[in-house]
Amino acid sequence: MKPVTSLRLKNFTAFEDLDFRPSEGINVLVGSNGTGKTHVMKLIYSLLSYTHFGKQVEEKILGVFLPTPMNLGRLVRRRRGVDNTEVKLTLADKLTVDIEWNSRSKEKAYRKNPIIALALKRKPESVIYIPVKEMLANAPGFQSLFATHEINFEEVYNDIIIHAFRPPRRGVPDDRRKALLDTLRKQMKGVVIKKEETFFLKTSGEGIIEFPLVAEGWRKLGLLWLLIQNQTLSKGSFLFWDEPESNLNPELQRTIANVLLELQRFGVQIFIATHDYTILKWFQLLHEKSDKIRYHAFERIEKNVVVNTTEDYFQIKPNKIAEAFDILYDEAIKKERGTKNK
Amino acid sequence: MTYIESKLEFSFSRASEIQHVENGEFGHGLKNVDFLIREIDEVILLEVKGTSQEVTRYLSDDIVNQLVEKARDTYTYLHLIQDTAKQLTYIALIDFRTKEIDSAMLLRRSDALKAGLRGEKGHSWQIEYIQRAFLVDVENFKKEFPNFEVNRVD
Repeated sequence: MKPVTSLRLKNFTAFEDLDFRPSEGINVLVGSNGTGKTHVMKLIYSLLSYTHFGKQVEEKILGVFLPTPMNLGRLVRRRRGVDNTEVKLTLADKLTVDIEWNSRSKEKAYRKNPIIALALKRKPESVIYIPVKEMLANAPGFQSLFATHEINFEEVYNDIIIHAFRPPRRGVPDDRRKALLDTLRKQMKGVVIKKEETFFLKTSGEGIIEFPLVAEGWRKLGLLWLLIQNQTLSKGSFLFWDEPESNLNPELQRTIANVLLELQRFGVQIFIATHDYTILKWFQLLHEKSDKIRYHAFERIEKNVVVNTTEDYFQIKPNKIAEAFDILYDEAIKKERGTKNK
Repeated sequence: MTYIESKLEFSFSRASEIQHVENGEFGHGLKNVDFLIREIDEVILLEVKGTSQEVTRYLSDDIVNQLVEKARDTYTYLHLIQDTAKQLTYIALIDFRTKEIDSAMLLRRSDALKAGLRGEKGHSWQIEYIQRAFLVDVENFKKEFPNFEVNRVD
């Protein structure tokens, strides 16, 4: 599929009026908690992926957001009276998903262009959302439980397991893909194997280790390894990753940034939401001139959220992550000054 | 009165007494900081570094080691001239002329400098000869030490 070029939102959750313009490469979403970064990623994911799961777009949105009750109206920006939510996603080839609902809507939205579903079906398996919590360790039995029971898990958790179980494509991976797999293999000191519904890390020194016993950070690398190995992440695919830094030691974040930059060079459009200085800084330090990267700073101004987009790391405004270090540094100086004559 | 050091012009009009130290002035191979600022209740050791060379070098352990060495030798000098009655404050001012340096990096190097100075205590040394240490860029120097004036001269 062609990359996403814009997302227009009116009255959707925290957003009164948003014109989000992503890069066709990497998009780094930053901002305080509650500014809607995850909502933007989940919404784009839902709009791109619903056909893969044989669902209607509304059904997918509800499954991914999981409002209570399961009504679209719950996703309308909250204020008095009845309001309309408008969502318009545009891809580089001008295809759009253009839907609308209001605060009384339950399971149906008004669709302005029903043709999009056909376009999305061209390569439906290539839209990946990696949630904050690692799920492969919980894979045994999860899919069947999810399919048959009303369990309160957002669909992204089930979806990622489905993607991880996909077998590798036929043929030998090309050299660049092999290099990426090798980088990840060295970091987690093994490769991921599957036996029935269980994932294992097959190491050279310690044998085969079941995933629940593997460090959560390494499991995240293992998931990435699987998605590269089975070529789910390939040209024209999309990767959404919420807080890739969680459970990862900062020393591994250089690897993550490098791998994501390389996937972008393959033609994967990437969206990550982060609160982490290290990974943000690694993108700035490692990216090459030809790389396509945009930083989107989400900021709540009174009851609305606005997004400032820039391609220059130093123009990220506001940069709450860097500001946290300004405060730390100031406090460290203040404390040192306070030691006078003690 | 103003002083030039590493392409920075300083004015310490409110300071009690300024000693702009020449390299080698302490003798006996002792390294020195650039300024000794004697105030009523403390002596400030001010070391100034311009970053004409590669900026990242100024965030390296080598630089921290050099800063520690200068502090130690300056303390030795002060001890030998019997001038250690007051608290010693160490300010390492690095003129990073790049936006690449942010608070996270300054914080890390500042901690490394403090760790280095405390490490000097060693097994047999019984005192922490520097009571307070700051690693700052020009912007933070101006903010934190408003009694001193500093401006770039080029």
